[in-house]
Amino acid sequence: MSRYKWLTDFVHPLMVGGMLGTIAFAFVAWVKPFFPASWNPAYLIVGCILLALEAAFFNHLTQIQREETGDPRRITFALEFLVIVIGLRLARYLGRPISEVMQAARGLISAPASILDLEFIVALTLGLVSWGIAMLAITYLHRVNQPEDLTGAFAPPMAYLSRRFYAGGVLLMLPTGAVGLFDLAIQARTYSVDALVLNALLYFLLGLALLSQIQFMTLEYRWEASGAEVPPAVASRWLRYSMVLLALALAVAIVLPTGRSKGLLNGIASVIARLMQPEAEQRPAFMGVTMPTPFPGSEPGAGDTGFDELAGAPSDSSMDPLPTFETPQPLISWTVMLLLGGMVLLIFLADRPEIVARLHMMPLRRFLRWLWDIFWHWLLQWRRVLRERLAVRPTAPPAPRRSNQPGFSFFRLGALSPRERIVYYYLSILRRAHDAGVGRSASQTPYEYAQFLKRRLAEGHKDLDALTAAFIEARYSPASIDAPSADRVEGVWKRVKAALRRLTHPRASDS
Amino acid sequence: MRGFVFFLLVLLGLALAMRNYPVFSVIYFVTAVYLLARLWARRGLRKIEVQRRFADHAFFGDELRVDVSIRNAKLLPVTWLGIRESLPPQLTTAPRRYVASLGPYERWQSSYTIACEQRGYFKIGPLEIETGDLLGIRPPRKLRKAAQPLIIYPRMVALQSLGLPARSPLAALAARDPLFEDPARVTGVRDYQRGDSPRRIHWTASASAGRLLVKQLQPTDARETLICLDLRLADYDERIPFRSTEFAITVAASLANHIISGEGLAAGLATEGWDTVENAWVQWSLPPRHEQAQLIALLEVLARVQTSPRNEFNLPEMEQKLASPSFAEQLRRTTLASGWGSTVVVITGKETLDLLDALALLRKSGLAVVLILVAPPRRGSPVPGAATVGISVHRVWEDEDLEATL
Repeated sequence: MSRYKWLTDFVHPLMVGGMLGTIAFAFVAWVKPFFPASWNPAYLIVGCILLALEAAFFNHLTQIQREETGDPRRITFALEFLVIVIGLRLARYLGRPISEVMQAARGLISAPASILDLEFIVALTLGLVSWGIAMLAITYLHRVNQPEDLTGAFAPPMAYLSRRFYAGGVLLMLPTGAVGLFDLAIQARTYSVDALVLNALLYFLLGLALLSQIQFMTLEYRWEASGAEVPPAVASRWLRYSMVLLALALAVAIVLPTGRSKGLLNGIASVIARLMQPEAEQRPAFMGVTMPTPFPGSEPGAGDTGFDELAGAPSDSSMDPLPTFETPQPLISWTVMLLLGGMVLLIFLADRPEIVARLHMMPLRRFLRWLWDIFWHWLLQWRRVLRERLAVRPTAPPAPRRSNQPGFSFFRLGALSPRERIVYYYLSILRRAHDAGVGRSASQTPYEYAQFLKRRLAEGHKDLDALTAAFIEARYSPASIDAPSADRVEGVWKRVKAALRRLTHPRASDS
Repeated sequence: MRGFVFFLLVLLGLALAMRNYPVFSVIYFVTAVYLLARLWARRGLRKIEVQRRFADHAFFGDELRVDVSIRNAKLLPVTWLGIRESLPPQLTTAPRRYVASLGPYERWQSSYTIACEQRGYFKIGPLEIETGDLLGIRPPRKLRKAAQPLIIYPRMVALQSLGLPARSPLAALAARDPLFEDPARVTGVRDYQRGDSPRRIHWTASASAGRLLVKQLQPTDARETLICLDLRLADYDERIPFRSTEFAITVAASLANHIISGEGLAAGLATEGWDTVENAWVQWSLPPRHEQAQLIALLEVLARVQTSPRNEFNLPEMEQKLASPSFAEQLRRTTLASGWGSTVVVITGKETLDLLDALALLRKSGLAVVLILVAPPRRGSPVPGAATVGISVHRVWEDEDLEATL
C-alpha cells in the first residue's frame, strides 16, 4: 500500500471524482431545462469532483480515529456534513457579483428556511450521493492490498468496483441517450448530445484506466503473497500498455460511424484549422478549446470557440470552408469495422477449433446443418437450465444477512455483538500488522501467525496469544460469548495495538 | 472483471432502445477495449520461447544451478508474465515464482540453485507461464513447459581402511593374471598340446577337423564382485525402515565406488525395487564390469530405485505382489551367473534362516560371501549366525561405522 500511496491517496480519488463528475454532468443535463436559462450548474460538477477528494481525506481521517479509539467519532460525521452543506451553498455564488452575494446572505439571515430551495436540494442530493459513492469506492480501493477477512465476508475489491463501474455506466448512459428523446425546444436548453457522448467517453476512459490499475495492484498483491518478486518495470509498463490500449480503443470509437460522429471528426478538424489560422494565434486557441464552460449561452463569446464544434452547436458559417474528414472517414470507418468484425470471428473460431475442423471436412450444406444442430441443442440446453433454476429458486433459502458486510459503513463498534467485536479486534490487528510490514500470509493459520508475530514484537506476547485464542473461539466455537469477555479482549487488543505501534514508531513510544 | 460482455449488451440495448446513435461511440469504445484486451492476451503467449538449462545428473551434495530464460519472439509486447517453476518437494520447500514483462523480442533470464541433498530421480518443472489482459476480463491463459529429469546419485562415503579377508572384494589383490578357468564357458578350440588334460579334448570338433582339438576356456576373474542389495522394508528395522534402506543404498554406492574407482576391479549390482523412471517394479542385474561407465550405470540404478512407489501406503501387500518371494530366493537366482571364486556382497538388514541357507549354499559353490548388516547396534547382540558358517559379517549403521569397519 505504501508503495503507491500517492496513487491511492490522490490519483485514484481524483479519477473516482472525475467519473462522478461525468455522471453529475449527465444528470445536470437532464435537470437543466427545468431551471432558468441563466443557471450555471458548473459548480455542481466541480463540487462532485471535490467531494470525492474530500471523501478520500475523510476516509483517511476516520481510519486514524478507528485505529486510535476503535470507532470514528460522531462529531466528525456531523462536521463533515456541515462542511458539505456550507460548501455547496457558497459554491453557487462563485463568479457572481459581491452585491448579489450580500443580498442573498441578508435574505438567508432574514428567512433561514429559504436555504432549502429546489436548487440547493438538488445540489445537496447530488453532493451527498457523490460523497457516499466516493467513500465506498475509496474504501474498496484501500482494500486491494489487504489480506482477505477470515470471516468469509470478503468481497474482492476488483469484483465490487467493476460492478459499480457497470452500474455507473448504465446510470450515465440513460440520461445521455435519453436527452435525444426531448423535443427540440427542451434540447436547445440543455447540452448537445455530442457533448454528453464525450462526457460518457471520459467516464469510461477514467473507469477503465482505474480498473486496469486495480487489476495490477490485485495481481501484485497476489504475486507478493506467493513469494514472487515484482520488478518495478512491470508497474511502469502496465501503465504504458494500458494507455496504449485505451488510446487505440478511443481512436476506434472516434472514427467509427454513429450517424453524427462526423461532427466529432469535423470538430477535431476545426481545432486544427483554428490552430493554423493567424487570428487564432492572437487568442490562446488551446484554452479556447479546452477551457470554456460547457454550458452554451452561459458565457459571452463561448459560441465561437472550438468547443461548440465539438459540442455540436451550430458553428459560424463564415469560418467555412474548414478541412473535413468526409472523404476518408467512410473508408476508415469501414476498414476498422471490418477489422473488428474479423477479429470477433477469429476469436470465436479460435475458441472453438472443432468448428474449423468440421469446416475442413464437410461440404458447406452439411456444415451449416451441423451448426444449426449445435445452436438448437444449445437453445434446448438453456431452456432446461432456465427451467431448473426457476424451479429451484422458490425453495432456495434466503441468503443470511451478515452484520459485518464489507465496504464502508457507519458502524459503531459498540453496536456489534460480542462475537463480532472479538472478530473485529483480531482483524484490526491483522490489518495493522500488514501495514507495519508483518502481515499474515494466506497459508498461515492464526496460531502460526501468532508465533510469527511474536518473534517480531518486543512485548505483548501473552496478549497476542490471548487475542488469538479469543478469536479462534469467537470464529469457530458455537459457545456463547458474553459482553464482559469481549470487553476483556478489548483491553488485550489495545495492548497488542500499542505493541504494534512501537514496532513502527519506536521513538514515539520511547518518548 | 466478470460480466463485461453482459454490460456491453446492456449498453447496446439502451442505445438501440433510445435510437440515439451518437451513443454508439461509447459502445464502440468499450467494445474495442474488450476486443483489443482479449486479443492482446490471446496473442501474448504466442512465440514465447522457454528454455531451462541444467546438468541433468548430479552427485549428492552438489549445488546445481538451473538457468531459466524466456524470450518473446514477436513484436507484440507481453504485458505481464507470471512464472511458476515447480520443484520436487524433497529438494526445496516451495516452487520458484517470478513476475516479468517482456517487450518486443526481449529476453528474461533468471537462475536458481538446488542443493542436492537427497538421492533420487526428480523432475524439475513443469514451468507454468500465465498471462492475461490488462483488465482481468478473462482468466489468465497458461503455457506449460514440460518437466525435465534430474538424477542425483546416492551419497558415497570414502573408505580408507579395509580389514576384510583376502578374498573379499574390498581387498586389493596383488596378482592380475587369471588363476582359474571356467569349464562352463567355452570360448573356442585350439590344437592339442602335450600336457593338456584329456578332459578338455573337444571330441566333436576333433572328429570334424580330423585332428585333436581342445576346448579353450574363459579364464575366471576371481576379483569380480556382485553387490546384492536387499530393499525389502520387511528385512530392515521395522522402526526406521526408510532410513535403513537409504543407508543400505549408501553402503552399496560406496562399495561400488571403492571397488571400481579405488581398486580398478569389476563390480556389479543385483537388486529389485520400484523404478521411479519406468514407474514399475524392476529387477536389476548389472553383471560385473570395471569401466568407469559401469560405476555411473550402477549409481544411476541406485539413484532411481525406491523401496515403494510414492503415495503407496500398503507396502507389505505391494511387496508381496511385485517382489520375489524372498531376498534369499532373489539371491539364489541372481548369483547363478557368478564366476567361481568371485565375491558376493550381500547388503541387508536382517539375518534370517532362509538367508543363511542361501549364503551357505553360495559359499559351498565356491563364491566368497560377505554379509553387511545395516542395522542399529544392539547391546550384547549374539554373534550373527552367518559368522558361524565362516561368512564374513559386518554390521554398519552410521557413516563412521562404514568407514571404520570397511
